[in-house]
Amino acid sequence: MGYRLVNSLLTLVLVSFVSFAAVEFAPGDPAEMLLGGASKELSAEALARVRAAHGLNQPMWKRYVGWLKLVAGGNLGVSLRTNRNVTAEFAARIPVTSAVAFGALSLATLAGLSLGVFAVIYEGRAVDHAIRAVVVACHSVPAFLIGLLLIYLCSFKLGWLPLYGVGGGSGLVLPVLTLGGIMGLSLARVVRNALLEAVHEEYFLAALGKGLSYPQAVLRHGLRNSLTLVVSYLGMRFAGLLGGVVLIESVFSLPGMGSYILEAILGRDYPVIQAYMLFFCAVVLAANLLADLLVRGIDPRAAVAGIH
Amino acid sequence: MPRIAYAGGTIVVLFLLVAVLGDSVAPYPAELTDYGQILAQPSLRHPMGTDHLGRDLLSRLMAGTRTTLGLGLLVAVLSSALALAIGALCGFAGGWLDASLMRLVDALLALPGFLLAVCFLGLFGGGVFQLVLYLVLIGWAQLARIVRNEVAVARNLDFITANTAAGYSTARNLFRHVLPAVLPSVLVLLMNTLVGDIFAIVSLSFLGLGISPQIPEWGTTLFDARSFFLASPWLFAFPSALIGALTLGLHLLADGLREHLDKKRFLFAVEEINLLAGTASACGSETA
Repeated sequence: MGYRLVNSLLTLVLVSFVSFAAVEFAPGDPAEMLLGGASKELSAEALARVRAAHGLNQPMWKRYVGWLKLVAGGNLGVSLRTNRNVTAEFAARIPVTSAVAFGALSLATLAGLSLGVFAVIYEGRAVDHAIRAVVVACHSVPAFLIGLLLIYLCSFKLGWLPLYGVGGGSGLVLPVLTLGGIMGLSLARVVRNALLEAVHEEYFLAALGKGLSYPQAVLRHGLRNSLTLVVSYLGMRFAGLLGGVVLIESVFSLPGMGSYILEAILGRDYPVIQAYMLFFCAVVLAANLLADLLVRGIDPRAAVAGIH
Repeated sequence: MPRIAYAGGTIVVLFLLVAVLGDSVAPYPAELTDYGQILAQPSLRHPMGTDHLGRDLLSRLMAGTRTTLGLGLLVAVLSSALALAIGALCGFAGGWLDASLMRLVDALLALPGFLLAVCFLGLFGGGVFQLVLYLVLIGWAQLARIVRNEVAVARNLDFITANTAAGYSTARNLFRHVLPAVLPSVLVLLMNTLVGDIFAIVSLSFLGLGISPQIPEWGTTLFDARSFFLASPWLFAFPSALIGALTLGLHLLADGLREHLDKKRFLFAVEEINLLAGTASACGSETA
């Protein structure tokens, strides 16, 4: 575990450096941007004054360290567009995004486990094949297209849900369904395959021998052993889920972090993009560590196997 | 060779043909606007309807096949080549070089690649070159890990040991014997990566990042359709169908090939390839 922690911290340092350097080398003079964009009317004197005021005339490494200190204290910088603190802007946007992401994760876990168990109990029969067919169909196009299809069917044709926006929570239903459903379906396949391996293990045969019915044995003995796989799979897919959230928020016009970064990109709001990179990498690294911890909690053998 | 490989291969070849012939077989030029036919429904004249500028959707998608599939292939081939070079180096050399490069791979794999691509496109601006560059940079790590493990297995096979005993040079062993032995795996992986790369390209241009909306491409067609798709559903139905068909073809081909090569014992780190390729085809690709 200590090894993983050190590795994640090193990765985070690397990311912080890359995101700092990326903004440093991005086109455009930050001093000009602070004065409202490049124009011939900006005097050299005004530029020099702004550079001195914001410490832009110091060497890069000094500014990097200064920036790191600020970030460590929870100050992610100031947005060029709104002049507000990025941390505050993030805080306003995070609730929607985390609602979508955690909703999708919960739905995926529930759907994945139950469908996976179904597929194993009815292995080789219609349910099993149907799940496989839906999985393949849902994964043959990017998730945002499924989102568009759901908007068209459920919101436009049937009028059940709002076409865009949060709409008092009902607007979150389709985004969660899109992301969580798709992830849940692939998880169902993972669970199915893991359970099908488990049913050939001796402990499973012993459980059947003691008189448990097949479904009972799957639920009590097979499932527990496949839980580690579920957690590590969800951990592995978490980064992809956050990528999907950007697309899905844009499709459903949700005011979360995903639409925020697109606005920031349109407005060339470098400090926001920089903070965004660092923030999401930190979130993903933390999620991976958490998944690791959970796996160890569920299955003590993993702790032994995890030592390199 | 399993039948699904032929089925998938046929689909993929059809798309490749469209990509190569593209505008010469399309019914209309991709840029031709017809203001009398704005947002026209699918008909005999326009089998897939027209978009908000009266452009024929079928012709636009045919021209877009070249961009989407071509760029996807470029990204997949470049990231596989990079992965092959680094993976072979690590797997063959071992030692501190292997250890440190694999730590870098760990770091890259732990990060949200798609979000990083979005941020970089935002910072440095879009463009075909940038798009390809960022997708290669975030895509090579996973392949490199597998290539490295394959090479590490292959280099310890008996015939390599025999070669060394016979006095073959390291370079000859690596280039003439180990690398050809891992190429089948790389081929299978390449096809699975290609699906993910195509998804990433389409997704990024759907967000308006990467490829300029003037260039016909499946994602930019969807980007154009965003404001009109509720009243004109064919604008997203047909591009989705094309993406779906190509993905299906690639997955079938990759699955069939994997099965065939595995049966012939051409794949070494089978478990890992199955994990990546198997989850990719049974469960879809990782990207978005």
